[in-house]
Amino acid sequence: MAAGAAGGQASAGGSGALALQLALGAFLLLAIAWPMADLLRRALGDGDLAASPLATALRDPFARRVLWNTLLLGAALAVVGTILATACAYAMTRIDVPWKPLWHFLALLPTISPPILMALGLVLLYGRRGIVTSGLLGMKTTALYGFWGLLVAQAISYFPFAYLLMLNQFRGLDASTEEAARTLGASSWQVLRTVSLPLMAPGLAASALLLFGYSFADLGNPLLLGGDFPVMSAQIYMAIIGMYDVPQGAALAILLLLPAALMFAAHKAIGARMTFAGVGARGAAAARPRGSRRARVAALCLLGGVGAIITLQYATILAGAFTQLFGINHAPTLRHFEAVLARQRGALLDTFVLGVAAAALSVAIGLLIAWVAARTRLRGRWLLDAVAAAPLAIPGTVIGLAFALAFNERPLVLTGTAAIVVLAFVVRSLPYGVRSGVAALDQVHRSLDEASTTMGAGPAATFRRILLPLVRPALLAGMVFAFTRSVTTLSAVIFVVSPHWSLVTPAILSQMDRGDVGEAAALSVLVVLMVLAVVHGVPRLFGPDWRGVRGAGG
Amino acid sequence: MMVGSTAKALRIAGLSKAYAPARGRAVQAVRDFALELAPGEFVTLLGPSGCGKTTVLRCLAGLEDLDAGEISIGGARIEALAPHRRRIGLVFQSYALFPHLSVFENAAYSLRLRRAPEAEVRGAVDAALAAVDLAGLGARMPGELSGGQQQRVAVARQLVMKPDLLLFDEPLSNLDARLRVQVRAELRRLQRALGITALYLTHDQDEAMSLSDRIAVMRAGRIEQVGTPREVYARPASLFVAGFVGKANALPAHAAACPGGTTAISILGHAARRATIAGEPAGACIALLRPEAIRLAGPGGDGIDGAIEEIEYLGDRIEYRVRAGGALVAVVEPALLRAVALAEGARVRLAPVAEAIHLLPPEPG
Repeated sequence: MAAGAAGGQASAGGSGALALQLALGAFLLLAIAWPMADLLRRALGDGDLAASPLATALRDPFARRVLWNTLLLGAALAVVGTILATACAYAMTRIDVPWKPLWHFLALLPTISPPILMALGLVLLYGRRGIVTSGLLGMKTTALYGFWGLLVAQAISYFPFAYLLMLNQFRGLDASTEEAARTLGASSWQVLRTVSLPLMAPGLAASALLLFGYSFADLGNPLLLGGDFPVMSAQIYMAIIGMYDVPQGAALAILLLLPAALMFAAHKAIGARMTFAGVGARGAAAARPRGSRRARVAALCLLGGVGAIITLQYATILAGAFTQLFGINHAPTLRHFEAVLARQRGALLDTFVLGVAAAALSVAIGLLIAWVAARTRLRGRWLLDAVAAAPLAIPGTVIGLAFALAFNERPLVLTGTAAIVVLAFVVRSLPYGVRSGVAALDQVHRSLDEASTTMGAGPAATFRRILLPLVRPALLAGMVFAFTRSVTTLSAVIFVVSPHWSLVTPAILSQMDRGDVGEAAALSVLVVLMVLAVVHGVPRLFGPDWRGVRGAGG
Repeated sequence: MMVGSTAKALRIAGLSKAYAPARGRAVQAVRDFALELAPGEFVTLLGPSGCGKTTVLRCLAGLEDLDAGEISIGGARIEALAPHRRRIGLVFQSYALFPHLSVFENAAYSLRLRRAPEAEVRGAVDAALAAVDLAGLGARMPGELSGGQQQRVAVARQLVMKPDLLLFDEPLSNLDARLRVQVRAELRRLQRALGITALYLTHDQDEAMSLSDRIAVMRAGRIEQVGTPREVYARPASLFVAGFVGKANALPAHAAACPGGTTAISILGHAARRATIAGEPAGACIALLRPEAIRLAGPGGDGIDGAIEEIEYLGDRIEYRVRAGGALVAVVEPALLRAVALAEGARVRLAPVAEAIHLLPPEPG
């Protein structure tokens, strides 16, 4: 795959790389630093700090309660989700359970769906007129709305991310360490308690913080299921959309940003100490899944239970999309799809087009930043890397609000354009774009671009002729991820959509608000199909052949 | 040999294990494997990678479920027991120390699981660390130790457990050559002093020769030969064994029994005679000649005539490859034996040491 580099022209030398760094810096300044600074300015007000919106919000007992609720929900999700994720990851990696690919697929299904779908499914199943609560049990209950309903919805929506993280943790453990404990007299449970979990302590903490962050950022579930348990993101939405109180919204956004940023900093600090000093000489051996009969039954119950809950969610949404009025009139119909295709065709198309554009942009910019940070010796390159990673720490609601406010005024008015939507998508996906860029460049041994340089190619020619062809498959994977993230987000786009450029997730929200549950379900089905098609179609079309390259490059 | 009071015998019979990959054909890793170890005996499983020796070891430790077979230790069947109930220690190739525990706690691990009293733990761990020459390093973390030290912690950890059987999975392969020889000698001394029955895996013939009471040479999931190092080297059961434990010249030969309990052997026209060995083949067969059991002499006289084609200087010894009767015969001599060095192309005579000639039946095919 590696193209010959002998003919490469030294078209852009050190000055070219410097110009690239400056351009990237300017972009980050415009797209991240400026909106956030603008938001902070609004929260702090113009004059007296004590009278600023932020100080007012801090004094407001209701706002304090909302902040407390937010932290409580985040902590609950962090604990529940991490335990569930660890148990599932353990069952998948250490126990010989049948149908693993199925459980894995089901567990990951929520990662490619808008989180608001979980709320939709829960409402249909357990809501006031839910088929389980009202239909089966004959209850008229609102128990779903509030803390517990939110916790369940967020657990289903975000547990898969923690599951992926813990899966990698378990796979990364050297199996012989656990086997050594076994031969020294430890039962499976003692091995887990005394060896595996202590070794994964940083991973467990990372999982908890990850879930904390997701809980903060979630908007769809709190809007639909919050009930009498208001959390920050929903309160920001109310302040802006309901009351059009921009200063209060900005103040609440900053209030939400602070704990989120703290969590992120803690996450980073843990990540730096993720692994123990290397012990032993060989690479880690993979664990061979085994387990007693009892362990296998328990694991199957766990994975089957999780799979069943997720399946039930999606089956309900499917049923909701194909029936007249789910829970009341179950006559099959296609009218919801007809209505959606008639009224929301624009939203589907816009979502797809803008999602693809943003995916390409965030991966391209991410790769450039990764290259500047990893392969050049320019001063200040770490700052690019750090600022590009910042959106990980910023809840989507905060980014969306900052964008809507900052780009609504001179010097740069983007309100109502596609650009502001794409920009919001790009900024939110940029950390992952950089990460996929770093991963892609890691596949290529440094000696390759050194070889190219010795043959007379400048940095630009090396990048274009050597690195890009080698890393393309990894970048495609990054693009698929960025696309998924953009298409499924609600919080980041709710403030920047416009009649000209509508998107699917806000459309689902407004359908739910109007009570058009059938149409919301039909639109949800279509968006999940779209994401599934991209996630599975892209690797099939372009072929992920980079593993072979890795061997040659390593 | 000093046999410890706790030493137990190991008996493996009919052990079979196949791996069924998710896709593709099942691989028969071990087939009808049988081996017995006397109490306190040190036996090496020697074989190329992929011969199934690791599978045997993992089945013994309970890390792999076997398809068929019996394993008993001290007369008690253990193949159905969970790994942590078998009292079989395993020293891993990667050492597999617990990186989050100190050297002391690594060694103490098995006692901590049993919630042994602190005094007992301290006594047992200190004794084990002293036995492997690591006294005083208990407070270190494994990451702060050298490879050789980590390896000794892995051994000490097993000693604390007082296993009925100690398994070694190529424990020296991650050490550099000089250290390997040193640790090898220490391991042997330790095993003899403690009298633990031990099964040792390696693909290194030097290691196997120097450590073992007996060597079991494995090939494709079966044992090809079991014997003392000397038996395996001097009287290999097959060409495979002969080649795996050292260099061997395999030459076509003819053997005939003679009166007086001797055998007349004709190799490439050279006639030799030595005492008959029970069970050896007669008629057309293969004569195995170790390179150091052939003497080089000037041309003329008794022996096989040939010409030196290649000379390889190896420091302490010289290997000559001599073209004789269409075959290329390797001969090894101590390097400083000759006042005048032989040159390539020189005419020589090969004189095999008659007692060292080993006869094998002709290989089928």
